[in-house]
Amino acid sequence: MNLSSQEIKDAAWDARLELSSQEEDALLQEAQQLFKKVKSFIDPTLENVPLTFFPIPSTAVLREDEVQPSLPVSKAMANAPDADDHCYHVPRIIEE
Amino acid sequence: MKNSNTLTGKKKKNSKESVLTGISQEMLSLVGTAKEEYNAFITLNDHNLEKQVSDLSMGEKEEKNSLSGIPAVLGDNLCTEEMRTTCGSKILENYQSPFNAFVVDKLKDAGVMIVGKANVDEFGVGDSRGVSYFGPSKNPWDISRTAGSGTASAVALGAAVFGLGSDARGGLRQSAAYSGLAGLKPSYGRISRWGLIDYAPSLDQVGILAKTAVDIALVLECTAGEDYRDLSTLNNPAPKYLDILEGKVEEITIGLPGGWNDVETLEPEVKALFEKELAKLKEIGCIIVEVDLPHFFKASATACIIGAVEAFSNLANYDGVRFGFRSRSKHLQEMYIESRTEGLSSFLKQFLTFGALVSSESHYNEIFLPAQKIRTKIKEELEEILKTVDMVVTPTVPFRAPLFLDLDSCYGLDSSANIFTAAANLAGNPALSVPVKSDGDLPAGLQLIGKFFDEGKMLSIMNILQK
Repeated sequence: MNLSSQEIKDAAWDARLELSSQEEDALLQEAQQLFKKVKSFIDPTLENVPLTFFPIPSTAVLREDEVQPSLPVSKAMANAPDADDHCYHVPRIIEE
Repeated sequence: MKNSNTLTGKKKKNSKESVLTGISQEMLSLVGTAKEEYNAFITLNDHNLEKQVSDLSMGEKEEKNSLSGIPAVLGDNLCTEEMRTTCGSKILENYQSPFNAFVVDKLKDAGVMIVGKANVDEFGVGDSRGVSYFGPSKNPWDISRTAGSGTASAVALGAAVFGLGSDARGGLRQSAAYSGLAGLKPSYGRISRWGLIDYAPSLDQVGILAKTAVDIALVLECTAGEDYRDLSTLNNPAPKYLDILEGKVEEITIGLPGGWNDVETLEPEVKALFEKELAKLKEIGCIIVEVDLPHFFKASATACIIGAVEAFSNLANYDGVRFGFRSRSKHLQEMYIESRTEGLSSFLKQFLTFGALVSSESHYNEIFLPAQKIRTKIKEELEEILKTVDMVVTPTVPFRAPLFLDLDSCYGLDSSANIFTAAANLAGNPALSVPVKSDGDLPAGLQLIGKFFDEGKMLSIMNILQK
């Protein structure tokens, strides 16, 4: 399987990251090896095998809807790099 | 590496104030050494530690609980209110959690003295590389080698009696093997992950590092149990592990996967130490049989694929908006990208990009879904084998603690360090690394993989081996 540098660039964009050209090259090489390895594991016996997303059966069980103490807003926002009492401040969304 | 602090050893001396003062001062001195010389800690619990030591010296916490007054260390990806939680990353360098992790509250309720937050691979992703934004965690056996984690370094030095950390592909067990400790990754759902900043929720578990089986048993008993905030914790109360430790180990059948000694990176020294320990298992009455687990050795690459995809999703919220490092930027997209690019290490950036690549439309069906099927095969094979044997045994890591100079050749996105450990994370079974020591040389580890919630049986074997 041949991955392209563009695929690595696109994936970095999806992850909201910038890689240097050395990082892109190293990742391209390692990703190709890993893809090749995983493909070598695939055989016809896997065709009807179910997927395992969690090690234990997982069902979304909702507990009773009860009012419980919650985190005060000031504490929840205390780590924000830029905020006022109730809002996070971010730079403008639309590019100039 | 001469210190031999253990939980049980400390408790025996807990009645006399002068002895307590002596122990406390010795412990404080070891904590200082661990931080300054081994870079084991990112943050010390300075203010609270002095008060706790003072209380302990006065005997104020005496006999409240088996763990009362016992010094412990936490990996810095477990949230604490009284100390920052950095995850070993620049992006969370000054993050102050508004709550404690479930396990932290459990330990505090038991009177445990938390001495500090230990160095971790950034967000736990490096497994047992032992290098973070805050530098390398040095191994007490040889400072030119990694300890695998600051937690392992601190416990091996005696700066804490036990430590808690995370284990997603085997990192905690590997750091145990590198540092001559025991390391338990409990069954999936045995200990709540509430407040653990994990990178792969389907693989990660909170694990325990300590020197003896008794210490691990006591800590497991304290931290296990149901937590409504983590739905993976099951309604399965923790048994009295100390009682189980005294159980008989004769005629316990242990399966040895065929092909274990064909692993390319297996060091001859590790092979020899492992075989010597297998002989000891036979001496104490265990029966060793070879078992066939054809997909077992595919676990490392499989866990890499799954872990990267989960990390890509799980670590997406570190974007400079609500917490953490923010880069100065003109507009929002630029802020996301620059904050993450400056705030995360080169290795983590590549791992997350790899996760994004596997998640992409063109690779999801051809790589990610087959990986989840291989995971099913690994899990099914382990389940089937564990109907015929009580547990499975392997070396923990194919090699001993790597030199810092060699880390890049040992660790990549996928690492051969995970070859024996990743299967237990994919399947959710408990796994215990038992320390295997050689005369004056670097230690290694023997790994036991048990049935779900059968941690006690593995600990009982370790207990007998240690006697």
